[in-house]
Amino acid sequence: MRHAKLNSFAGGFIALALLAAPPPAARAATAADIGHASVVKIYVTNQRENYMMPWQAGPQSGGSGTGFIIRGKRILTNAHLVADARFLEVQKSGDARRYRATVRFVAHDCDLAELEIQEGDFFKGTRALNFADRLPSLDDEVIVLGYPLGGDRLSVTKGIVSRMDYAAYAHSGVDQHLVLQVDAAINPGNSGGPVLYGGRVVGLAFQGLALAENIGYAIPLPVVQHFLKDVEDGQYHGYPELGAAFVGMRNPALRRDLGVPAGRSGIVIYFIDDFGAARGRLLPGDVLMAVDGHPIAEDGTVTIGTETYLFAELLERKQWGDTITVDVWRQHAAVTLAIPLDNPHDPFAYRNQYDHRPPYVMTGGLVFSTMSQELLQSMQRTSSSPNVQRLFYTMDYVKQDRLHEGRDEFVILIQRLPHPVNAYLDDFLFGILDEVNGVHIRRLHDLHDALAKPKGLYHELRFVGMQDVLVLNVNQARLAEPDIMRTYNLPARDNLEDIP
Amino acid sequence: MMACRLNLLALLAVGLVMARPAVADDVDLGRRLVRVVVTYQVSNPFLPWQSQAPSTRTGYGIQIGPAEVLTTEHLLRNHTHVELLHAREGEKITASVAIADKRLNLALLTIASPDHADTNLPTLELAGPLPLRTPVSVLQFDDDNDTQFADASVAAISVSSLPDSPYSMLTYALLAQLNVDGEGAPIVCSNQLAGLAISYQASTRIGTAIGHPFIARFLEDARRTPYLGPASGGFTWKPLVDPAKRAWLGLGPERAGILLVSTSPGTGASRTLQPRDVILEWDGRPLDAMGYYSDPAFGRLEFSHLVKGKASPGDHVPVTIWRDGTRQVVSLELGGDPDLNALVPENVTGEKAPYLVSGGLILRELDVFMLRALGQDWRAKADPEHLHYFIDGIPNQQPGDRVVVMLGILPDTINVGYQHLRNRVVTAVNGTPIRNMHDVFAVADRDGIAHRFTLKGLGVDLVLDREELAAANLRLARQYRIPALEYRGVAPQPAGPVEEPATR
Repeated sequence: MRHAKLNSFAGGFIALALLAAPPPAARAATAADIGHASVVKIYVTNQRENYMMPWQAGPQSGGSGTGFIIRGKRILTNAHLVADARFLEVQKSGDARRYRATVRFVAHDCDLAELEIQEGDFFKGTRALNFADRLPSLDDEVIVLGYPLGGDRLSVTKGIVSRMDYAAYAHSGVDQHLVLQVDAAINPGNSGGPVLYGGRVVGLAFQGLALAENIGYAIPLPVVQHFLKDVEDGQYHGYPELGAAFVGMRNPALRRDLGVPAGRSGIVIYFIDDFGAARGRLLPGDVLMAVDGHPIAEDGTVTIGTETYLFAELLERKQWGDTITVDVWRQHAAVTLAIPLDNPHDPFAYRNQYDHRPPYVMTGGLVFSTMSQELLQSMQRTSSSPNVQRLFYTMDYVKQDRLHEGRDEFVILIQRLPHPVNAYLDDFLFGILDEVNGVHIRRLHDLHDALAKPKGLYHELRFVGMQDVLVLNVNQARLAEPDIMRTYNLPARDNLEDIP
Repeated sequence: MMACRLNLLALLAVGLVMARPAVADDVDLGRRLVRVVVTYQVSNPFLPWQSQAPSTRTGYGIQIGPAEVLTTEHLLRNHTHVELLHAREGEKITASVAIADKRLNLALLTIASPDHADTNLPTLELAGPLPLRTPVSVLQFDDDNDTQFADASVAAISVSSLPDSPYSMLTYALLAQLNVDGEGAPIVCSNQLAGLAISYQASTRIGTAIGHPFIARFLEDARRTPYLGPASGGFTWKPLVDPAKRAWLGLGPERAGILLVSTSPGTGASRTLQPRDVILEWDGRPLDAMGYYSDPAFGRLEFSHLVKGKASPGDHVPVTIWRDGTRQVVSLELGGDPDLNALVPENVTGEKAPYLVSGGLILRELDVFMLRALGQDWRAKADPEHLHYFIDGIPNQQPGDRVVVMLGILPDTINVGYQHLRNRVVTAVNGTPIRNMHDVFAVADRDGIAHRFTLKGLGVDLVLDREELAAANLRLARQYRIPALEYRGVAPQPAGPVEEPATR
């Protein structure tokens, strides 16, 4: 489930009380035994991209984290550990040797990754960890294994389950899933390590909370299992998104206005995302009364047995391609609809990007790239530049105000590399390109193509919200480019290939 | 002191009663100087029925007639009570604000009681334009409440921004020998009024003053009813230096003419000019590529001075433009206060906004004063959608179009389920599309009550129980201590047709 501005009306988080697992059986092995046989240290060198200077990479950074071996000679760890990795090695406890590893599957939306190691002897003497059947209860004791900072050897910390909640996953910056909160210490380096209950995996340590003590977060069993099931067909699809925003139906006047009969409950859909599974199936004004037969209360919760969940939690268990059945009150009548969970890729969700090289096109020292969360992170919301403010508005309101219509991405003038040919063009910096030489710009490729067909002696570039036209002398720009590329270290005029 | 005597061409007699020969001297100027004590109170833009705590600021003014005092508008902003004090005297004389012009930063006060009018006051003469390095005096009170003449000289003449204002005008920069301790302090030259101080920086000892052309035109305008104030062009422009752009427009490389960027809806400019016109001459004066002309009195000045310093709303000026490869002369009708036609007005003076509270929903129009009230980093704190309206406006904007915002909801049983919604743009009330608060009030009057609200981006109307609403409004007013559930403003609202309610 994505949390964007449009979804913020869902109200607060719903704390989930989870099914109690039976007390652990007599221990077959100590936590340390398990750790030595199954928990590995991962060494990584990563390199983030430079979104303001997309022709060159950012600086390298290195670090280490934890992973653990599961059935099928696989290693499970966090996506954030291996994102943008340039070089990966894995080391077993008590073994000096480091093995080269590669990423087989990565799920940035739920911060999980599966690694593989080509050298067959790696798994000799190791033991795959087993998953628990169900989640522990609040106050149950859990053990966190890993290689946190402060030493090279395996660390074991113990704590209890303090909370189960639906919370944001920092790695994607956008997605929300179930989170297991424990009071065991989870420090940098613990990332990717198993959280054990009764010797079995119930979660994967992944993030802490700044300014708080004794709060560690783990990716709980259902999310891990969702990932493993998803990749069974050899490809990661991700979580399906319903793409519907709602208000509750607590107000009796609203209920009367929609003609919802007494005894029926539900939530009122007020917005349908063009990139959600609900597109073309649910409509604004629909009252969503039940999902897969589970009635939805007026605050958006469902009750299963004695437990109460946010209805979105039902969708969390679904795989891409599954179908849900919904009961809807529409135009004063009840209808039942099947919704296939098959939403298309959403280029306007603005998740954090990884393993992706930002594209660019340069002409006359003007560098164009595409809108991204990373690009806007390098700008200030306090900026007095209307162009910068327009970018933040566009990112935040792209769906509500349907700004994406007619576009596959937003093309932005991100740099002016000063040269006499572009000396008077600063007013256009950070503008969103609308039209070049009479051609509407849907995506960066269009700019590349339109620059091949100038209007006579000039390129004419028009920007969203600006009356003024950027004019560039074609010949002067062309003549200036080798000089500009040399001066500012551009290896190429453009990069349109989306390769890591 | 000779320099300004040479410029006594445009003497303007403003004394209403001339009872004494016009021989002004230091004693006379001292008699005219008043300390202005302003109690002011700023309305809370987010809870528009509330005001912030009253506070006081002091400055100066100069008595220009028996009961008239000239000072700055900025000093008087949001006044609730104004008192005047003469040098050496402790008596507090109540004054009322006759005219305050936010764009000229000038205001005229009237002494309320005839007992305090100075019927023997001689005519005050205005000095002409001050050349650079002219020695002048700044009048203010010393520590003993006596008149002090602080020596100063004119260091620069330019069109610059007014304090706390988006407006700019021709000002003198003054280098003063003593600290200037209040705005409105008169600048005098040879016993003539040459300007009013509007700001002062103690660290550099540089003060800024409004000069002759504006004081003269303000006093002249002030004698006419209704007060019109200065003109505005109704368009935005930028320099046109870029040789590629000039060639693309079919112009030569000579550094002449500026580029018109946009026009404001409802203005003469929107009827006469269009984006990409190049303005070559304004009222017969050639403009350079940076927008400057040669002023006979002040030398090189930005041409906005020709609009604001000389013209009145409704005036027509000949403008020579370059359009589609030809030179043509158009007659441009000048506008007045740009706020009148703005989608998001500046409301630089922080006027209390018209509002409506219905069922706990607080509705008002968006203005820049409200955005700035979010604090120093208001751009980061403001809703990006609100900034978007301020920056980009809306397509096909019509005069009178405003952005009506539902600021938030005061919780009550009538509005359960909606209370988390805030800062949403309202597009219709009771099913009728609305363009401004005037429309909102018209719908409320037509239907007796505002009970259904359509918010932008929300595919479902917020519906309130019509039967319960009147009682809920009384309850809300009592609970949240709202003295009035609506305020329709003092200025006439722009008119707009109210459509019949859509059938639902």
